[in-house]
Amino acid sequence: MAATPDFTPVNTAAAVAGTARPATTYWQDAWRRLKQNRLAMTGLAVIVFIALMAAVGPFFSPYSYSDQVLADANQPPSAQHWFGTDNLGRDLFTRVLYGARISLSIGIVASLINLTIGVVYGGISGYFGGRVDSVMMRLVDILYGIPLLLFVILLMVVLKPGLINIFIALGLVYWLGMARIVRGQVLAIKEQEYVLAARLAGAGSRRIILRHLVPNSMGPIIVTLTLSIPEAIFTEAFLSFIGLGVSAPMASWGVLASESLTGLRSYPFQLLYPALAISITMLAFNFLGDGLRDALDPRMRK
Amino acid sequence: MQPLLSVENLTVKFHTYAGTVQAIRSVSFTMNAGEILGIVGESGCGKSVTASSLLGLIPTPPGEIAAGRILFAGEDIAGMDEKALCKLRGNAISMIFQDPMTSLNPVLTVGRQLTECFTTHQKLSRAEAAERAVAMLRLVGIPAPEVRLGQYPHQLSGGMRQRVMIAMALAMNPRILIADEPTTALDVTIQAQIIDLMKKLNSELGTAIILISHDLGVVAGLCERVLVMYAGQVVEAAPVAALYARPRHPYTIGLLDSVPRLDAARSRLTSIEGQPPDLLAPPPGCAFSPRCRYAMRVCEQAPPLFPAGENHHSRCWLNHPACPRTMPERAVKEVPPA
Amino acid sequence: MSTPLIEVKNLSKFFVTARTMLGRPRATVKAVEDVSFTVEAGETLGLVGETGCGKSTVARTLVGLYKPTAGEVLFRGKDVHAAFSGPEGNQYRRRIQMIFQDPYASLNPRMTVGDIVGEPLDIHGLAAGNERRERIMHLLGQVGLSPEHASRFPHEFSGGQRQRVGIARALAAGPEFLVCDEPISALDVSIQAQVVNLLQDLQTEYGLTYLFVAHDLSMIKHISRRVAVMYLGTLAEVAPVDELYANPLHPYTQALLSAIPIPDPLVENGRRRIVLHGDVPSPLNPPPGCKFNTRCPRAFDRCRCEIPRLLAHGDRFVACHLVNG
Repeated sequence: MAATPDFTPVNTAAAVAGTARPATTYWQDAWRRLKQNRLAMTGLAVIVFIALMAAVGPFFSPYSYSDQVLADANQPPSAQHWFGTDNLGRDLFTRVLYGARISLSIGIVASLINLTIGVVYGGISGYFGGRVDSVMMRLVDILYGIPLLLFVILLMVVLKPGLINIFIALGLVYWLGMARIVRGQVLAIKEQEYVLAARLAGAGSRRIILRHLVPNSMGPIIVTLTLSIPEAIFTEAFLSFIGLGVSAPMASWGVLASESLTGLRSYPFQLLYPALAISITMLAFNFLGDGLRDALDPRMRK
Repeated sequence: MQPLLSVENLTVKFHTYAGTVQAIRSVSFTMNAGEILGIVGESGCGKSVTASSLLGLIPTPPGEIAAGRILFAGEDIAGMDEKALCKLRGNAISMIFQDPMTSLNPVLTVGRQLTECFTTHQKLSRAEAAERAVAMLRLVGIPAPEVRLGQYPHQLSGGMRQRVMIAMALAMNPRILIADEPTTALDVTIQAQIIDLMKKLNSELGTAIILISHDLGVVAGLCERVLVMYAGQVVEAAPVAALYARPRHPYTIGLLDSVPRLDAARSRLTSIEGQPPDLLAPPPGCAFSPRCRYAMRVCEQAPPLFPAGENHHSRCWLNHPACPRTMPERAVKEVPPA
Repeated sequence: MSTPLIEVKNLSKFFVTARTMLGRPRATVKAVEDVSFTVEAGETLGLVGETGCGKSTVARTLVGLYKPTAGEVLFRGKDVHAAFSGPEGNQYRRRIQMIFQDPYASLNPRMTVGDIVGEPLDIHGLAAGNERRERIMHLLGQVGLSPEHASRFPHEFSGGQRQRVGIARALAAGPEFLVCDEPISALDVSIQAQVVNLLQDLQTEYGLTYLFVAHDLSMIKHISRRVAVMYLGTLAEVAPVDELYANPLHPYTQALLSAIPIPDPLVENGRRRIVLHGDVPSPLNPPPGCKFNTRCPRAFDRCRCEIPRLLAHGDRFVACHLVNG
């Protein structure tokens, strides 16, 4: 038998205050979950890589995107021209890098315009509710009824092709989804007890929107934003492909793909590289968007 | 007599990103046929996990039955494959949950859900099954059962839905009915109806019931024997009268004293200070000792289950025969005559 | 007789749940109908009833989250709903605060505990800079939390600790009247006692007046001085706590009390229970006459056509034809 146990009393009063669980903010938590998602991280890495290449790549290229060397036209990929050259003898690799600049900036700027319009519109609709909400959302429903691509094409015909006009056309049309998402979020959150508590404390609309509604809708907004970037890139590529995109000698990926069509049978590589760039970028953004959705979804929080 | 159900050293772990949660730590108990056993404890104490493991409902992964056996009629549930478990559920052991709405299919009528048991398991014809369904609804006290069969779950009130759940759980005449907080979502007047119903079914059909609850009042009115769980362990097990009259664990005492009683004079509530421990890293020794007013040096070592009376066990060092201190009395003890 | 702190006069709150194409109401839920009671300064009035009886609607109308359909709420003799929208609105808002039921939904997950507690201070300009920080620390201390908790986020806390944060936020504005809307029903048993003790200590220290809404009659008995029982949007009975529990007059109160399980098997097995049959009728389509007549074991013809009025019997009020005669 073991020795008699020690029955001396101990004071436990100190332990009473209670300890909190280890501190992790919402964003740390989301980042941890995102890191576990291999596809999303691959997507993020690809996006960062493409963005870096678009930003600094052209500086290291010995060629300019617009210099024509007709003697070198339609060269297949080689050590001098990694992606070959086009029918005017321009280095395709350099043009794809420049195309990345234009396509990415269109994707990002158009999405930011969507974000601004969508958040303000959806926010007002959801926050004020009632009749305001009904009228604003019926308008969105009507706009949804119009084929959006057709709408963009008409806008581009009116506005004339060009980078700025693509921003405007895409930004004016694709905010509908964002507005719906934001409105749904605001409607749900404004009935939460913490918003009621803020109202009881006398908080005005401004404080409630900025301190309570916006921070708590950030997750779905970011996901929608991320998924709207590839949509904008793709739409721009399509517009350029049918000749309504940026004007020569500027080249987005859509323009490059379009130009390659004339010599497609003889020089298929001219279509391959811009098409690959579009596909990889779209996939990367979609993987990242899906990963973000899982990471930011509060229902997944433990 | 061989017990109907015997759980031996059951240990369940959940592997999460933050570490391994030790949800149940070596839980053992037995249950006889026709008995009503109560499991009480607060959220996270492992009472619901215990119930889920009896039906093989622990999601794996992240969950895992790390050790122990669950013997039902001589067979080990913990080692069964999904096919054997399927036969067990409903036929031998069935379960009802806190929120009947989430366990009923909202797009199927009550009748369809209820007759399905009979047509698939007992190979009855449609007409026979409908007849049985009406009989079951009548048994659980649903008025106009023929009408109810054609209704959808959302057309029923909360109390009615819980009755339908009980009817479905009893359809295959199981040996054990596990009721996981069956009345928590219901109002007191409806709760009284459901408790009466469970009592009636137990005495008429002889179904053994495991009642999982945090409500000490409900447990007192229904159960014959009670397990008190804390931090994944059974800290006290006793017949119901002994547990309430002479609790032998400071946690049970604290729990009983922290509830105001309808029939007692008002006095300040004796609360248990602090929070339950984090099951990612339960304290060594007695899990309750950090919150215990009677903690001793020895509590740093894990206490075994000490005998504390007839059929009465307590996981507290105060019950050690050599302990010089005695178990504290409950603060509210005497009940003024009504 | 002095004016009561809160006087609720013939309060009704209806919700329109469906409208016709032209915006006219098609279906109306009478959540609260013609409810009158008073709350004296420094007392705790318990408000009990089952799910859907309108007790939370009363609570939310009292603090101004809902505008009453009819009737008024007087705070020190002044109509609060008029005062809230008047020039001194915030002065009145500060005096009437609320503690919410769900400790998981009532704290903004993106704000630190310090900012949550400090928000009323910011809104009313009560303190800034160092003084603000000290006030927050003091408030956290008052509710049993420690200063280092101020920089933490709500999800790092357990339910009981979160409810303490909610109490600290309500106190920050310097209220006189606190509406506690089921503040403990989402908490574990041992934690409930902590929060109730805290609320009682704070009441003594600050001279607070409580309206304590709950469905747990044992806890209501413990904390209240007077109790109001609601059924389907109307008051059934209002009485001092000891009288109500010793001698309930309304048949609904009697059934409710007998349905409460007592945590003692000896007492519990020897009790005779009035088991009510059937369910609470839908508030969309309440029965005519006394709202309780469909389930009342003692209902007679008059109950089915005439609505009983809440009449005084000494210091208690009952709405029942049997008692009122």
